[in-house]
Amino acid sequence: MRPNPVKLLSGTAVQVARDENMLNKVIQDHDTFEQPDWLAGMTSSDQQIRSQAFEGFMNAWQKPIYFYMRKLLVNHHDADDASQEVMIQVFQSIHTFQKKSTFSTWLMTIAYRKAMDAMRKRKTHAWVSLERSHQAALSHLNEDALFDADDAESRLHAAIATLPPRQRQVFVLRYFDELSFRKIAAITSKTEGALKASFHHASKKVRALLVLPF
Amino acid sequence: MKDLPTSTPFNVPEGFFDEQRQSIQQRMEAEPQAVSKFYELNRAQWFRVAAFWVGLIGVVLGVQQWNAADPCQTYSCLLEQHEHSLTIPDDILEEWLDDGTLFDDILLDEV
Repeated sequence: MRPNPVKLLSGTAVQVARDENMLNKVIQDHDTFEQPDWLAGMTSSDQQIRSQAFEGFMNAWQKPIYFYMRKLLVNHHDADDASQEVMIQVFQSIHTFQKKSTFSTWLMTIAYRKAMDAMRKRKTHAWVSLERSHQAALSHLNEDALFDADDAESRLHAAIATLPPRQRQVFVLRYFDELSFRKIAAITSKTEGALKASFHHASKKVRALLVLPF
Repeated sequence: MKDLPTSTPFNVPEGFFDEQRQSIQQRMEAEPQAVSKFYELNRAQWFRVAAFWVGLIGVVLGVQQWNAADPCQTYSCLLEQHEHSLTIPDDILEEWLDDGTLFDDILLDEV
């Protein structure tokens, strides 16, 4: 169950997720049905069937993957690059998908690794204080023409941007995408206990940054 | 602005998703599916690789066996075949030969 935003944000007036979450919905759909219809077509030798499979895959996953990356990387161009990498990797590696897990878990594992790589490349210096990192991220967000949020929501996303890569992933997957720790464990190959600890630390840091004066 | 997501505060440029789709399609055409790596083989391919190695090892062992010398029937034959591999130093051998217990109590009793 999703943590209460009001509790997490210590009373800060903010409505975090405005609408249904796309990633969670697609993952649930794919877990409910055994495998997507277009999956078999992705490895077909017939060009037309492959094109149809491509359309089916993109219709289902393009936006969820992009917004997953965007929440983690914040910058539109970084999210664009990372999400393209994920989708190309899926098509290039689809013949290795053993169907031991659901397609969504396999895909999210690729997305998780690509996101980790992208975040590590843009790693902030450890000696910069959390408050200064938060201020820098906030300024960056406020200058971003493709970011449209009120102050409280901006502060939340700026706080998430200051988290270490793994904590950021767990926070986004749990808080925004509302995935169970079990599902996140399958994606990240970490234990549920370790993920709960990561989420706890991430929530604590985010909460601390949100109550700071402007 | 088009394609504005309703679930996050993050917006995208107009027509972004169509352009991204085209870009991915172009990249996929330019970078076709990677050649299967060894660890990415499917079950049938694994069987073929395993069968190849089993066959190869079998052939090597067969050739070795075919070339091998006939089994010895006598100790002198064994000595001839393995003379160079005997590494027992002479002083140890002499010590054994001088060992009365070995010759008197064990070997001679057996005769």
